[in-house]
Amino acid sequence: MKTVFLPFILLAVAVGTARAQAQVPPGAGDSKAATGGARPGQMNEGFIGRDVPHFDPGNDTMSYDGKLWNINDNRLFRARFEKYLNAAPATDTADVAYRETIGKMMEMLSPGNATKANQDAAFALLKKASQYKDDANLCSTLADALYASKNNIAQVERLKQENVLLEKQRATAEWNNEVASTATTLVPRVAKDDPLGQENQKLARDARMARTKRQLSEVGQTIENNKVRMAMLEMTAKGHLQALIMQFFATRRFEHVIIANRFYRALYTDGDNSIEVFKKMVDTLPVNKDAGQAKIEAQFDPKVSGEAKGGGYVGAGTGTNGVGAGGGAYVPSGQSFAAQGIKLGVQNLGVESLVGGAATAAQAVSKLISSLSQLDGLANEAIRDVNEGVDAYRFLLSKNEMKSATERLAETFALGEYLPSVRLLSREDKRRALDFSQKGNELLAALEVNDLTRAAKLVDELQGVAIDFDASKPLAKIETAKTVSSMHLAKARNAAASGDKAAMEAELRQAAEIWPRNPALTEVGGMIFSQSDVHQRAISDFDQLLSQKNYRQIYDDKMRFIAATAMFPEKQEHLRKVLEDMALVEAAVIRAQEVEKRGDYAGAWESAESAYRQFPDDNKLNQVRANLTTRAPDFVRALKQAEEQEKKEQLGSSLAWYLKAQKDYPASDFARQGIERINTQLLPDAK
Amino acid sequence: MARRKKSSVNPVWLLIAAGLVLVAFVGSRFFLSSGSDPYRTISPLDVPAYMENANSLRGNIYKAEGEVSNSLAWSPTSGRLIAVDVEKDTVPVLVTPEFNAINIQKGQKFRFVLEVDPKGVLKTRKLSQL
Repeated sequence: MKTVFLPFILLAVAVGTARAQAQVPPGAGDSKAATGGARPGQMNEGFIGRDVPHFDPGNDTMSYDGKLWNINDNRLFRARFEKYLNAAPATDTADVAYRETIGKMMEMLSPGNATKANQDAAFALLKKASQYKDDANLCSTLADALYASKNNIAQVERLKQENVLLEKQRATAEWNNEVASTATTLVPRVAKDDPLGQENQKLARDARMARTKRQLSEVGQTIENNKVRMAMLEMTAKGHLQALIMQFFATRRFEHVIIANRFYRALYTDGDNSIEVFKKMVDTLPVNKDAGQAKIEAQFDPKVSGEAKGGGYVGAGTGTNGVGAGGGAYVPSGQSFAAQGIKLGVQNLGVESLVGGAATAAQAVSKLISSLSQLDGLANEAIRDVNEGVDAYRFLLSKNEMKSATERLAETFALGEYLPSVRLLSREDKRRALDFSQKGNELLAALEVNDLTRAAKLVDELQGVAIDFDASKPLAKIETAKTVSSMHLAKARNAAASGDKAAMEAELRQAAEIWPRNPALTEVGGMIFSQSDVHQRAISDFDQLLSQKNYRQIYDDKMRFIAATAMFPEKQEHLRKVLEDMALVEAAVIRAQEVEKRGDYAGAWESAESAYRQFPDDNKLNQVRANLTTRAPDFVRALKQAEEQEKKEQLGSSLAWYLKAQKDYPASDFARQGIERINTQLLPDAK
Repeated sequence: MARRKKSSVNPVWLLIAAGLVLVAFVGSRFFLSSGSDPYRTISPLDVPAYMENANSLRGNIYKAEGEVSNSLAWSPTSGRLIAVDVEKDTVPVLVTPEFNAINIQKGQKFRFVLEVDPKGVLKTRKLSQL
């Protein structure tokens, strides 16, 4: 499995030049399945330490520098994948020609066919291949690199030949030097006891050797310089070509990796496939730590969304994550619904940070791979895996297992985006995955915004198009959220009923946050606000009726006003007074009606009149009083005349009328009281 | 044979005698009635007018006959205030203290000479039991 996920690692390293800084769902970094439970993933630094990113297939997370990043749950990948699913298959003439060109080059450079003529022909095809847009001029870049390498090799050859000549010159110079150091026989011998002669003889020999020594030194220095230049040229040429191959691998251009690798072997026939040159080169790359590193910042909120849980290894997994020697088979399971609250952003993105990130990434990659042969093998393995993934996708498609099919295609696409088997998939085949993928993304979006109705509908649809879609997780989330929302609504209803406005608002807000489009939310909210509106209207009506002294209306609608004024003590007091008064009025009306039934119309009228004088605005009382007035007209007239004359201070006349009223209705309180009043005025000292 | 003349009463005389009897009866009745009302020169009380506006009758003196229906109040200084049924109505009458010697009870009939005082109250000037 490491070969499958290694390109992922390289992809993340090469194009990301970033470190994921993520809050991951609980358990996301637990590589227990992969490690057999020996050590938690984040604790396991592995033999290459934490500098190298590694992939945990147990939960589809990439780990780097102690941070985790879920590779599936990001918008960039989803967008790129959807773009691919919508694209037409690469079957037009240019695409076919490009693939034929690439295939021809690989055939020419394959072991056994890589003759000098084929190599030259393949080199010539590089220019042709680079003309197609699918190539993105990579073949041209490769051709330039190969040309530079060839030039360097030729230069090295020239330097070698130059050194051969220089060696001959050095031999001659050495001979000349030797000859110059020997005294000629023509010069007389100097006696041993002649110091001056000895000194003169030495000076003469040095003078003879000075020229030959200088020549010998120059030739030797030139030879050494050439050797250094040859080494440098070789290192530079190899290093640049190796870097290009690494770049092809990192960008998942596996066919280019193989082609470049075979050209490399053709160019450098010394059998040295190690990438030590590349390692040395990238080790010297500058990393400005002060500039910091670009960071992909992901945020995950597990409270609302589902957790991202993948499958696990089945079998004896004995390796570490990513590049370990894992021996188990990865069994994916479950759809991740961990979209809620995901935020993906880039921090500290700048030239220096990117350069630093690239250098760090390149250094990390150089630790993974030790030779170009290994790289070649990985590329071939990746191509095989991609082809197998496409076959698996087609098979799963035929079985209508869209979830697995889409996952396989996504994995295959991520690994072999540029390989023919991926590019040649028909749009119809891809559209089915697109449909599932879009619905899945819509489900994520619906869950993200808590549109539970839409989410439930999408779950149904997904179950319809994919028989292997596991709806238990999203449905559990949906049902839980619905239940919690309903509970908050119930609390809001209770709070509204008890007049606790703050609690009502808080509960409504929480219910809305959990399920914003809850139909019951609208209903209950409307009902509560309607109640609130009714309440406000009742208060307004009460105030208006009170100002109009329409106590009868207040009394008739007393239940509404009792409820409405419950929260207003002052209004409640007004209402209490009104209801007490109206109770008196009602009692007077009832009493008048009862007296009327006995035929005592004057008495009934007097009862109604008594209440009327206290509550003259009550319509019902007025009506009763008016009716009774017609039933005892003489008595009423006498009383009215008496009162009128009393007001005019015509006490005699007034008293006469009161006496008449009393005569008509001897039990009249009004008449009796009137007579007493007049008597008091006429006879203040009466006893 | 000659018949003797029959004697009879002339009917004219009978008519004259009947007229004289009628005149004597009517005259006696007239004189009898004039002789029993000592206040025949005083205007009787116009009860409806009094009840309508007593103040307009202030200072006037009227006579009235009625039955005492109720005793309303008594003041040692002002006298007794009684209710008297006159005709169909009842009017208040203040019997001043000068008539304290007269017993006035409910149901008794009196003939009053009344003065309308400034307050519109009927004060007794004279009174006699019937």
